[in-house]
Amino acid sequence: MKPYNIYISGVGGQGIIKTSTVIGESAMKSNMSFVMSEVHGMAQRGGGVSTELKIGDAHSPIIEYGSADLLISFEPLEDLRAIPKISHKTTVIMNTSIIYPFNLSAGKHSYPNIEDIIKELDNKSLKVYAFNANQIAKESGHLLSMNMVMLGAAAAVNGFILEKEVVIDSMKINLPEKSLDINLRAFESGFDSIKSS
Amino acid sequence: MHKNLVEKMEKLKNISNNSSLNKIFNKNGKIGIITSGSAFNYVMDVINENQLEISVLKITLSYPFPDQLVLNFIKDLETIIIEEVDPIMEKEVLSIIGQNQLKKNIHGKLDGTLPMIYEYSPNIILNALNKVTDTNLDIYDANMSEIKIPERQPTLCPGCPHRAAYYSVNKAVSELNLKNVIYPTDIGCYTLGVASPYNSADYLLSMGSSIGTSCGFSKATDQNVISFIGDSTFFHAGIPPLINAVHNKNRFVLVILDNRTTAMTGGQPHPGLSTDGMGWEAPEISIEEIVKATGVKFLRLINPLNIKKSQQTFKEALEFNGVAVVISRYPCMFIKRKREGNLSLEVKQNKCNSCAKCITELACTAIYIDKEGLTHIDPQLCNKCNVCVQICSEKAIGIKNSFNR
Ligand code: SF4
Ligand code: SF4
Repeated sequence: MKPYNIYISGVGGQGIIKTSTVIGESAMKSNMSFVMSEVHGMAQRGGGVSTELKIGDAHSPIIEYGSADLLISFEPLEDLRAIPKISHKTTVIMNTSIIYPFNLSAGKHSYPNIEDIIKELDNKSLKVYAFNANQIAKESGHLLSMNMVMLGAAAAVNGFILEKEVVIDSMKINLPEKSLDINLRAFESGFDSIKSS
Repeated sequence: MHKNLVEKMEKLKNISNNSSLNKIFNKNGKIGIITSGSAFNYVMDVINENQLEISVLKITLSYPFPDQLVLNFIKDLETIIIEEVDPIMEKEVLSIIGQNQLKKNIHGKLDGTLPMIYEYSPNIILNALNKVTDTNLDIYDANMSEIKIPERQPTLCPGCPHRAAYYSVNKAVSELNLKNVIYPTDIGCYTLGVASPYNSADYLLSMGSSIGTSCGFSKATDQNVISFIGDSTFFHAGIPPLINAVHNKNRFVLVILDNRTTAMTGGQPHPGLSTDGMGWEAPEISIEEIVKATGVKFLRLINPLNIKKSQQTFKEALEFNGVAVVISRYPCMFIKRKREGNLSLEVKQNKCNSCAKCITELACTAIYIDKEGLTHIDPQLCNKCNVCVQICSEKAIGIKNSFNR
């Protein structure tokens, strides 16, 4: 089976590693092989984070250029940084909420226009779902559930390889009990936001 | 003793030649790949995806090198060695070819089939196969963003005690009018001092090298040397070179940035704390006592968040003729952030003269300039270390009680 490749990118503290763990657990529950690698140099100090996930028959955990089936991007700038991994076969889910990089000479190079970012991704991928996941997360009960909004959205995408129910089961195992309800709500809202678009 | 070891190696070679850890995959075709480590994964992905007929020998037990196994493998195959970093296996294979007087080419890093640098990827393997075989495989294309992407660099956290220490060191240096100061540093969050405006990390070799290289710099030049090492790195690798520094009569300032944890890797304990790696209570080893025991004659303890006192201490340290140690002690913001409470800091716009020194000299990430050019503190990011309050010449940064609003 040709692997299903998921690339996740964003900024430290957004819950990317946790999301990846839930996906990995779901793959294994579904009796599929799973490999993953993560780049999180100094994530806690405000740097970028990305993970590469392959579900199916793969040896190496690195997604080759243009081979991502799905790009889940938690932050628009990090979406642009992921472009080498995508092609016209890639579905893109993007959170439009911005985290500005700290930069001493603010204004030296400014943050690109969000409309331009969406257009750029649209040109280079199969389909882009862009929405404000922070907003949905807040409505679900807590900003920190944004990663589960994104995961819910992923589960709703055409061709997503895992069953929604299995993903929910894995969430129950991997997330702290006291925030589980909020996270499940966030997941469902993310799911609905794709289904209804 | 040596005889025993040589005999043991002979036995081990036998084991290595017959070990199931050194395994042949896909025995077919005219091409053979010898590979190991993560390169094996890329090789297998490329072979499977392109349905290639290639034999693969995966070496896991690589020392002593399984010479017989390799000899049998390469005999009838066009061989490529695919390994990351140095061409170790490649040279082993060449020596086997030499010993057995085979007339045989092999491909790898040494003949330029594969690059000496980079971590490998499927693309690098595809390129190599295209070079030495007639497979003509498709190389993956990388899309490039047409929009210029600003960098997202890691920085010290808001309120980080290291930032305050760097600020004071820089002030002390400029007040003493010192030029060409050399800043050896070590491995931790504080390595981020390499960035502007701190510019306090000139040289880093390895764990603990800050102190050892300072000894060298102070002997070889007449420049001032200010060296930085974190608390856990000091315990790990800083003590022997400090002893040598004193013994060899070197002259430099050593700042031990003691933030009571191993911050960069996620907050592991170290011997200077009262909890051990298992979470049990443990005797706390005193950095001061260790430094004193090495014979250091100048030792001061500062709270880096106290800017005036810190600057004064650094100045004295810089004037000392010998090894001067300053322990800069304040917990990492992950341990001691003061987000809670109703008090927050704000920039009083009627006093702020927009000199932007809190941004250009201190560069706390919680302070920013808005579109109108006004300076603000982001209450969501500020950890209330109070350093900006002390450095503002206009006294424009103050406390506001957000509870009343
Ligand atoms: S008090 Fe000032 S320097 Fe300290 S974290 Fe807040 S804004 Fe930054
Ligand atoms: S984690 Fe601690 S030591 Fe590291 S940058 Fe933040 S406050 Fe400083």
